[in-house]
Amino acid sequence: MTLRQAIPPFLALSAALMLGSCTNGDSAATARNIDSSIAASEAMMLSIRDSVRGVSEAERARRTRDALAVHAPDSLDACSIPLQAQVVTRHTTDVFTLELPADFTLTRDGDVDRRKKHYQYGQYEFTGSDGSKVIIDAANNDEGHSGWTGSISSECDIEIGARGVHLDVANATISGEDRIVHAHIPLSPRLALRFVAHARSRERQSELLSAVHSLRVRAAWGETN
Amino acid sequence: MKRSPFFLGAVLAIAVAVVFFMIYGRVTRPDVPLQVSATVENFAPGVAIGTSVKASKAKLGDIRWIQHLGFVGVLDRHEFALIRLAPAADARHKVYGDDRALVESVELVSVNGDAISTTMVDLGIVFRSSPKDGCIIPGTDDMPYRRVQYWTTPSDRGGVAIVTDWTFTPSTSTAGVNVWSMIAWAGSFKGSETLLAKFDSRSCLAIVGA
Repeated sequence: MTLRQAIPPFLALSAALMLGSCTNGDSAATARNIDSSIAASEAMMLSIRDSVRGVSEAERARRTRDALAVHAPDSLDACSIPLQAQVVTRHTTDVFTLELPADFTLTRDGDVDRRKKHYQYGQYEFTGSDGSKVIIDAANNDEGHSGWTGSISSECDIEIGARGVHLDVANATISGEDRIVHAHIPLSPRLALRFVAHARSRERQSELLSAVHSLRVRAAWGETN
Repeated sequence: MKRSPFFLGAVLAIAVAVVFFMIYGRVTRPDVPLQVSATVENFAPGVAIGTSVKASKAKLGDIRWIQHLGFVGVLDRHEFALIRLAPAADARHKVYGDDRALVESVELVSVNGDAISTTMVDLGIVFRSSPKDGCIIPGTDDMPYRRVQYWTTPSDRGGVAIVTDWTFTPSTSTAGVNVWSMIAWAGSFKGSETLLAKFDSRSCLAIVGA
């Protein structure tokens, strides 16, 4: 084979290799550009979602403010579902679970209560950093408005965790603020669970009204050994 | 058998006419299929694929350039709140937007979940077929998998896709936010390149389950 004969195939091969390398380079650049577009598109969608969520939260806050002003400037609507506290802690006992503002701690455990030993239910008490209290115990079904005091400003019958619940919002203030949230949850023909919250401010009352909606009664309630 | 000159002339004339109209049809056929252009016109009046961004953006408010993405603007419509006009790739990746570039695809973004079903019905009528199914794989934990239901013309000259959220992980910061979009394009469907999202031709059901 002479040099003259070898040149055309060599040129053809070189051209093919150059074309191939150019194509690969273009492909890589194209892929990078598409990746950039995908990232930009996703960032845009995230931004839209964040703004929509911001609007939703603003709408919820507005509804809460409206609920606060339904009955009186300083009273809650028992049918409203106010915003939950910023940080909550879930408390799980033998008979119920409940989410309360994070500063609430268990100050009376139903386990050590005398009635608990006999009937498997007792009194549970949670106390907040401002002295607000949540007390949960048993009541007879017909004692929906007994065992606690306060001037009722709003009532509501709703469902919480697939159970019918009667809610009251009341004011028992005499000297220091004592705002009440009361929930009565019939569990058996005669037995009910009672939730009474004594809030030291309207904001706290709002948080505790929200907390009622997290109350779930466990299957162990009312069982005897 | 001897055929008359008239018969041969007629056959020749018909053949010439057929060839003429085939060529004429090809030459005069719009670049954007009617199904696609009519859909865009219906949901975003005044916006058109294949025309300059300048012509389309005149009908939109507060429009801005986003590199790699295109022009994004506000659309004051019941179904859609936001619009993205994407020019061809070479113009799309420039630092500054060129509003003389031609619109290659249009994305309409909605926060109104009620409008999905009616839009789907409209598209089924326009394309006279059921949509194909695919899935968009999220690039970050904050985004959900998204279902893509898309229609293309019989000769794949363009299409429209509806993109809806499929599922959330509990940590998804945008969980509970209902945002969906409609993407219309001219030309053949090229998956991720067309949708500007990581497209997988399998359904989300096959990828992540229910």
